[in-house]
Amino acid sequence: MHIAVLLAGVADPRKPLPRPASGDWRELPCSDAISYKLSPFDEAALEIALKLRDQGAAARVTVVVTDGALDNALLRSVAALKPDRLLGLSPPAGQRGSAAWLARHAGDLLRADGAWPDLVLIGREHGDLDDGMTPAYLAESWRLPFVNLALQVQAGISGGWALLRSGARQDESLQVPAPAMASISNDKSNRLRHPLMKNVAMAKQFKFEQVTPDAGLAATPATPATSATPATPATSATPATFASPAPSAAPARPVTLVQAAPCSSSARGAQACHMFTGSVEEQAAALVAYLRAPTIDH
Amino acid sequence: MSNSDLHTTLVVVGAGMAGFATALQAAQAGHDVILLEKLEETGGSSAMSGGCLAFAGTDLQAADGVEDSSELLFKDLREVGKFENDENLVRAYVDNQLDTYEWMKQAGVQFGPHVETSSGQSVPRVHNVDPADAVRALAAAAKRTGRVQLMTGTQALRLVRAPSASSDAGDSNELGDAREGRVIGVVAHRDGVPFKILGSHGVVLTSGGFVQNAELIHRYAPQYNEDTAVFIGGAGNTGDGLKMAQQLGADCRDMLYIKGTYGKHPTDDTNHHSLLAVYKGAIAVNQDGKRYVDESISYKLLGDACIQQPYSATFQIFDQAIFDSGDNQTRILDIERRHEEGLVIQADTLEALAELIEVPAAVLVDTVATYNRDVDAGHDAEFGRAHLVHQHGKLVKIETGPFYAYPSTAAVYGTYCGLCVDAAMRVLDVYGESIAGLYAAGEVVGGLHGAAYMTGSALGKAAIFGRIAARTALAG
Repeated sequence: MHIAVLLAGVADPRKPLPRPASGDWRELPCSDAISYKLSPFDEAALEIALKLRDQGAAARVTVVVTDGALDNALLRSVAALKPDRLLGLSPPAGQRGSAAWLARHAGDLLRADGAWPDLVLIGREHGDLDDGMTPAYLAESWRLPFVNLALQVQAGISGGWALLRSGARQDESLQVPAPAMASISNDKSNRLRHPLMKNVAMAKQFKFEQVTPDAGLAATPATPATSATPATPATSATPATFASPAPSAAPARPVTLVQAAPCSSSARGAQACHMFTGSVEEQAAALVAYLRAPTIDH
Repeated sequence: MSNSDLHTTLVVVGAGMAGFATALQAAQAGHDVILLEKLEETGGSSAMSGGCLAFAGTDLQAADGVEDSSELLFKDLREVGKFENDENLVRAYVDNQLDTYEWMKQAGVQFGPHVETSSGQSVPRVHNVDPADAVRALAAAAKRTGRVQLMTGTQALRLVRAPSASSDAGDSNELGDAREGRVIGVVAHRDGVPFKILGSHGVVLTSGGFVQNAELIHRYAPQYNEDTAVFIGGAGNTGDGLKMAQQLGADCRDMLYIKGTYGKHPTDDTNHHSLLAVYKGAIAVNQDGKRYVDESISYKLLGDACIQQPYSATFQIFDQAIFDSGDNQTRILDIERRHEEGLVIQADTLEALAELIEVPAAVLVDTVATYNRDVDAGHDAEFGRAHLVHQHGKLVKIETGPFYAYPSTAAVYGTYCGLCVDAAMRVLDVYGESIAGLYAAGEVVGGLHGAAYMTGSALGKAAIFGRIAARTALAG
């Protein structure tokens, strides 16, 4: 069994955001001075994967870090928990928060050995720039069975997965076949373990070579973008497999959010929360109508 | 003198437990005080501490059937400090502790009902308070006197001495009653504006230690750096007061005894307190699964021993019976809370526990078996452990699952060293002579602890020595 976890760092709330040298806050997403940490949702997703491995339900755990993949401290904090494989996939600044970009690039990365992982886990919000759409968008794009807001995962007796979550009135268990995808919410049962000091010390020795995959805004063929290479030969105590750096990757070109998506043209955030109901097709149609008519009555 | 300069009777630098104790004592005697705090918030390291105070002969001990005395406290303090501490300071602590306990209660400090035993104590002597509440209680009592002016966001930069006769005549005139060379105030800084605060009875430094100055700590204790230890304490504890006094020739002591306290989880940054399950019977093992120390000794010495182990981190290993003996009224003994916080690693067997903490299972099992045999035999052949803590408590075996491991390293919570003072809290220079007008109390003072540390004596000395410093200054 192979379990993959998609993680996106969030800006560490304990540290002030660094003012860009230009003084233009719109360049903040380009800054490599931001300190990242995992969100509670991502921590829960990672803990569930590690727990399944502890229980023998997973032979290996692959972790892909997107936002914050350039932050060595973040990568080391994940490496100290000893996933079998740790990859970085750093979106260009203008594509951060873009589920479409992730769908194009992360999908190929996860299918690196020709098949989907048996389970893809992702926090219920993927990084600071996601409002919860990304998990469902990715599952839809990748055509994977999807369960939202799961709290626990168990391996099914006859294959597949049982995902537990808290419903509005009662807890529920949902069965899905493998491969599948789940977004994870956090609670006491999936609180991320603390790494052993020994593994923290070993992770400090790792060298993470960083390559930005795609400096432009246009979609490019999927490429494992960030490679993390241990300074010492991989052992059972270190992430076992690391992607090779993309040799032809170009240096990053500064991109501002304005270039990527002027906020004046964005409908999201300008309206109150709107809940769609009905079939997927009906919801999609309602969404299109909503986006085309931002003054729609709620 | 500038028009913005301030005048008072006593200037106190640093608004933690020692600062408020000093200020309150002076105000209760009818004197005006200006209390400076460079941060916007008061409390300092005191408010972040474990909330333990070491007193002997209290009503709480009597209610628990604990027989304790000033003489036993004196003996324990001297012993735990390996007789490296200043006997006169220890005597000052002991002679004033019981009165200070009552004084704190009258000021509104609330002590928990349960008294516990911890590092360096022959009998249960830890009196528990909520440390932030305790500081707030003293602050409120000081405020009620109407004589204490608290100035937050105001940093003392330098001490001011009365000018010599040959100095500028203008300065001499403004301090006509001051004796030559006497410390008469501080140069302070607020909102970018420097000004003087002058006290007719001098200055009391209650500015804390320098736990937030890793460079200075490393200078005195090279084994401690940001890779090997955790540094936890008031954000303002950078050694300001120490430097100000050193500029006037003040001497220091115990600097070589800076040590981390054992029992801090090395990779958790939410619970800053140490856990001493070893004082309830746990053993400490390193990453090789082996014991390395007599676990009953002072947790400062345990910290030093831990720092020298691989990865500067070890594990406290215990069983369900020891888990159940934890005390959720005493932070450093509250195993249950750490378990609820997900910090305690649990397994049904020692072998499974070894796998989780990545130590050789056979070695851990053998270590525990050997220890249990030694407990039965009444003699710890390897390290000579004879008690749970100091000279208190009978050793217990580790035999009833589930089994637990608490990852632990050394955290430098305080520097426990600093300015030389006499028993009246007068700061002494390098020739052992007092610096007129300068007094100190709390963590900035060295000499009480010596080579190691008794639980509760740091917060205890903040209150006790603060009161002594105020009395001495006002008598001068």
